[in-house]
Amino acid sequence: MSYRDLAEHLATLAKTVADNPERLEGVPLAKAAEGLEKAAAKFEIKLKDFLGGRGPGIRELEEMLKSPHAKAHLPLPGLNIVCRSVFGSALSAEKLPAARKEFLEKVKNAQAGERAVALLQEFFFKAAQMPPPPADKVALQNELLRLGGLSDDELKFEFSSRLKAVSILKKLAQANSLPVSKGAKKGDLIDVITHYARRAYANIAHRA
Amino acid sequence: MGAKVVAFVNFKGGVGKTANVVNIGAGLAKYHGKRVLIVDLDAQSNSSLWLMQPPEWREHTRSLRKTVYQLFKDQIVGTHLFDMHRAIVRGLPRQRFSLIANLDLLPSAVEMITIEDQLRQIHGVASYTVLYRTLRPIMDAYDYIFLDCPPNLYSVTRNALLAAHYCVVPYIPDYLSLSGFEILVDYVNEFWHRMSGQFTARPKPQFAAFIINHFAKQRNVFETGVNEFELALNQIRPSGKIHPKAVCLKPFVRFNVHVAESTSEHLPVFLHKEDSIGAMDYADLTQNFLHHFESVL
Repeated sequence: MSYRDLAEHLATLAKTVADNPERLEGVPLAKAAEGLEKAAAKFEIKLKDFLGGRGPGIRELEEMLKSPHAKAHLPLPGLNIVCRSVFGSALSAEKLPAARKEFLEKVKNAQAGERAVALLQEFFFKAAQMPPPPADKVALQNELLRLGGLSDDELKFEFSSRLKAVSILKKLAQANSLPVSKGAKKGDLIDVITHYARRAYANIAHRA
Repeated sequence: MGAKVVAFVNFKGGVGKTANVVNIGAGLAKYHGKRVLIVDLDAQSNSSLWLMQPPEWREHTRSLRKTVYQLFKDQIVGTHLFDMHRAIVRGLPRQRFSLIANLDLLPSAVEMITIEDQLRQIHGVASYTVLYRTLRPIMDAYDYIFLDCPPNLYSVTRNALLAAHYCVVPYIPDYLSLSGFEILVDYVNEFWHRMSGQFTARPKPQFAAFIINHFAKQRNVFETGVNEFELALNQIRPSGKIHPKAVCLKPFVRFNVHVAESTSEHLPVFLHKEDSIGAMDYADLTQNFLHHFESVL
């Protein structure tokens, strides 16, 4: 069943009733008509709401406030930031559910639905973006691969000269997401880097 | 401006192709107002059965004329029984009425399993352009057409490759996926090279994005797997076999029981459990997918 089918059904039904108003009577039909009338009134409210009856953007805003984007990125301080952008001041509510309600009411009263939706879209877009990787990430990844292709002696040489500093080893490990603890010593770092460099080289080297 | 046709392709199974197709497609339609058509090319009919109730799907596919099977079959036997407009199921999923107005599906049928052998009866490039020719008339009706490919590189997938502007590779960060990925990239490029003299309607489909699925934060196991994948991408990129701006889209999709459960409910995760981590991951992924395909590429 589609809404087009529903529209056709209702149109046919309406025509049948309109063609026979004088003939229709009796308790069973009256009860069914009353039920239909109530259901139609309920449906009409939902339909008007969906089609923007509470003002442009209000339904979209309501949906956005309960979307997974909101769940992930819109705690109370975030909502206050958005509210400040729309109204110049934060919300008075101190709990998130109440704050969402208050925000929605403020937007409805000010008929600022479209502006609030646009601001929230921008807010969610920025929130979904991950911080860019460090500028030298690719170079450090390639360095790991290169190290993996060195002999034991060559590696030893690199770790005693160019890659002597713990800070450089940590940077190399970090850029390649290697499992090192915060307090890792130089020897631990060298062991981890050696293991994962050899592994990466074996797994990928035919491309190099 | 016609639809962007995106093939979700990986000949390794179980990497999240259908989950990505269904949930990103639903996210684009529900939260971003994009008109999306999902074309289910897999005989397993997983995206069809994810979005349709089984009785509805059985009823729809009973005659086969309203499935992708018929569009290939017509080409093989020279009939014209496939009717695109009756075949497309509109506004899925449904609870009698549409739940997402902009999400449409061209369903598959299990009979697709026999199509590979039959397609071999057609020789040359014609056997690989069936889908391209079928989709061409409806390109303007959609913003995105997602092709949910079977887990192989046979004729149906090759049809997807010639119909697509872009390829997206769903990926699990382990070595077996890595080795398969390199074979996939080489295969697609070689296939295109073989076809390019005969098929000039469209440029090469570009590997434009990679989606990391089944991610878990456990002792950097998955991070190091992703890192090796990125190392491989760094090596491949200069060859031109992937798009210069191809990236692993963020966030990585974590394993989430609500996504698995949503298949049994025949709903995208957004409609099944809107506050789950699966829904949150897919919401952000959809946002970044859109940005990547509309502003970066």
